[in-house]
Amino acid sequence: MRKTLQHDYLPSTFLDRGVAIPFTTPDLLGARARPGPRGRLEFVISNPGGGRGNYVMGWESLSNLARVTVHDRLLHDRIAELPMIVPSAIRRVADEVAVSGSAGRPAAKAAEMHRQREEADRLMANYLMTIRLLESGGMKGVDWRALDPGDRALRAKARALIARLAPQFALSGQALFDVIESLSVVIAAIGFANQGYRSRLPELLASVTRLQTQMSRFTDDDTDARPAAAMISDVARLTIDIGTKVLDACHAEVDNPVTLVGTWQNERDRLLDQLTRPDWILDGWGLICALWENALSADREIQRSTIIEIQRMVPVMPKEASNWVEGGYDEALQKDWFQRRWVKLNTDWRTGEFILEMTARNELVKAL
Amino acid sequence: MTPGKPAAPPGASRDEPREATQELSRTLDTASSQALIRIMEYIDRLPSRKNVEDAVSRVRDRLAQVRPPRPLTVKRVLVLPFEDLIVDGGPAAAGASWVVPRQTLSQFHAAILTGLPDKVLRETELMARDRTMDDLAAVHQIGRRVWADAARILRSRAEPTPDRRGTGLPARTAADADAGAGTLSGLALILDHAEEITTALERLPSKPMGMLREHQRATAIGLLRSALAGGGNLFRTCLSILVRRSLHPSDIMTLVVENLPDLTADQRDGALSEVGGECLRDIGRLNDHLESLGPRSLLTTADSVVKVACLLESLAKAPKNARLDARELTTRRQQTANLVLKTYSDGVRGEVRQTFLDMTSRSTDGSTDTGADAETDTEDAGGDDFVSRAEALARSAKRVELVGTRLGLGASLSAVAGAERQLYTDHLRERLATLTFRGAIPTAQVMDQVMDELRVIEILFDSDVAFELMKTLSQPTGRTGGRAGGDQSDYSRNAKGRRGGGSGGGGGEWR
Repeated sequence: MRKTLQHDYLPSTFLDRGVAIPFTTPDLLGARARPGPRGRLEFVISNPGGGRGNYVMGWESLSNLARVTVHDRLLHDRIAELPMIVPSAIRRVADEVAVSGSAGRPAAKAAEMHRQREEADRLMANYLMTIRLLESGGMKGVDWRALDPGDRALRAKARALIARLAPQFALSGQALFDVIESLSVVIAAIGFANQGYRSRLPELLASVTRLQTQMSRFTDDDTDARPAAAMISDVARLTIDIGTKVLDACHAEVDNPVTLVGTWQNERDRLLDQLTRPDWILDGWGLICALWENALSADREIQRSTIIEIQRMVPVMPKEASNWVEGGYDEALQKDWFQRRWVKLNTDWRTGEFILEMTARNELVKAL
Repeated sequence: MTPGKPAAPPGASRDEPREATQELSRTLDTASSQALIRIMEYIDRLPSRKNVEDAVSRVRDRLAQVRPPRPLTVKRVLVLPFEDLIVDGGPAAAGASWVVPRQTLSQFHAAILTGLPDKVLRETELMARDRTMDDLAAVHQIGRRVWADAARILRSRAEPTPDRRGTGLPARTAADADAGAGTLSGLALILDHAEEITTALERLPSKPMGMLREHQRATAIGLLRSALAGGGNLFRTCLSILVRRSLHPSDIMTLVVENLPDLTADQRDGALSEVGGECLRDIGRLNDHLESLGPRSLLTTADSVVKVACLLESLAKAPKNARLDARELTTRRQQTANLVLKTYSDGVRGEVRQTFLDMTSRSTDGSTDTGADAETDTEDAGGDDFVSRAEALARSAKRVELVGTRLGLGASLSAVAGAERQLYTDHLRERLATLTFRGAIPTAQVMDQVMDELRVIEILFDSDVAFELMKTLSQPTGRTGGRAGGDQSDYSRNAKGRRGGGSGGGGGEWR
């Protein structure tokens, strides 16, 4: 028998849902930040007492919930300075704070690797854009896989070739190069269709798909992990469906480099809005997949606890997503998911020892 | 020279094996969790663990926490249903017929492995190859092949013989032989129900078991009810398994009081009194054992101390039906409190402080910027291990402090912690003042180390202490030329590009 979950949370827009913040303080794990009134930052967090609903609170209140780690205080300070609360900006400052070592050396190294990976993806996107443009201008047969994006001489050569194409866009060579540079920042995470390497967001979508499959192992589990796993699976399924469509639309948009440069010049805001949608859709799933990956090697009881923990963190899809896929998901998007913290009866979930262990676990997850 | 034994290599001392064991003990005591897993992997591959068993037994509580993957063997599968009933020591340590002295396990294995058909042994050994005990499907597959036969073999060995020498266990006296036969019968009973017991235990948290969630309580109740239907002995055994697995034995006792109406009051109170007494004896034994061990690393001691304190804390809330000896409880509480306080004080004043000071003195060369990051990958990995161990030590100390506070030692522990906190923070401040003297800019490597030290302070004392310290350190000192109004965020900003692959390393700026 499948236990029915009650639903009570349904954000309207992605901004309303907020952006997941990778805090390490156990009580703050799963908190989401969004802009509040008068430019103040506010956080959405599932009821800390274990009851229904979510709380919306400022940092002062949030930091009173628990003894906040140094890492989280630094992270908050950096987020508070951001002009815009968007997933890419949060990811960037989260990496910067982690690189300082405030969440431990393994997390610092992982953050540095994230940054290098993002830079490598950006360079790769830049090169692919450049080569596609060159190919569209008649320069065929370039095997980009043989190229080293870090090769300065090659970059200079490519720049000279690109300058020859600039007049067809009514741009100077430098201006066209700047357009490619700007576009590559946005495209890096989504990549191109039919490319020989996997960029970050398609990779994350594949991780969510794996997670969704693994949740099915718990459909026969006669514990409170079963309804939680079902809920995670349902939300993940919806995220995968909508995410795939949105990502496909992005790939279609960037497929033709000539059109893309034109669109950038004439409809930049619309293009930026579209190309950043996958990041919003998948926001928060990176941490969830890392938590699950960390639990995979543990025993089944720890996996059950992790599922219950993840259940309150899954980013439910706001109604706004319906506009991004031209309908078809109205019923699924109307569901308001019941997310709560499953407080263990009479247990030691808030004792210092538990918090000490969970903080160490959260730091470890950052290193994955 | 003993005939038949190989001669010792020239220059080798007769004490070498003992020294090697002592060295192994020291290594296991002070190993980080990752290192402990690696060492246990190596030990598990040894043809025999005989020479290392003592060293391993000293870290058994910690192994229960770290849970290194154990290779799947037929012997382990045989023991699995009753491994919670194993106690260190010989037959005299048992105290109850369902408690299994570790020393008797070799005879137990020998009796069964010689009694099992060769074909079954060959097949099960093949099934076990290259697998670990985490592979539950394989464990059960093997168990189904051997548990029933093992029960039959034990039962036949337990049958009384005229000379009382058929048990396969040490039988120096008739009483010992009776106890041995009783143990064998008890084990046979468990092995008869091994599938059911192991399946239930898999649904419970791993050892040491914390408080139970709702479905876990249902599992425990189900096991006890089913055991009760199998007879009084099986019930006592399963109750003992649950109580011994748990850090909260009173919960299990309360579960019995509230959920087993089929038990008569006498049966219930008798069983609870027995397991309660057993728990108290265990606490006494653990306390004595810990006191007798002499200096050990906090990494190893903390798990045992926390365990004993949790047990005691829980027993104080035991249902009245357990009829615990109040006087013994008070004695054990005092003994445990002393142990906790001593472990914490010795740990933070000794090993933790020394590790912290070692951290701060690791890099005296190259402490200011020379424009290059001298840290090689190997050194970095060594540094990682060192820092990881320092953090683990701090966590161990904190765990002892937290459990001590719950035992009512808050004031005494705070006094120790307060003095140490002052020492740590003063030390860090002085070090940074030296490093930034006359405008010198510490290297990125030193900044990384300062953050490592701040993390130890955060874990050991409090994030407030570490954060305040960080804010102080981030203030312009007048010596460094730092910009006015610097705040704690400067730290993370300045840290950009310092870790990992070394991109941007070496150019760190200290404010």
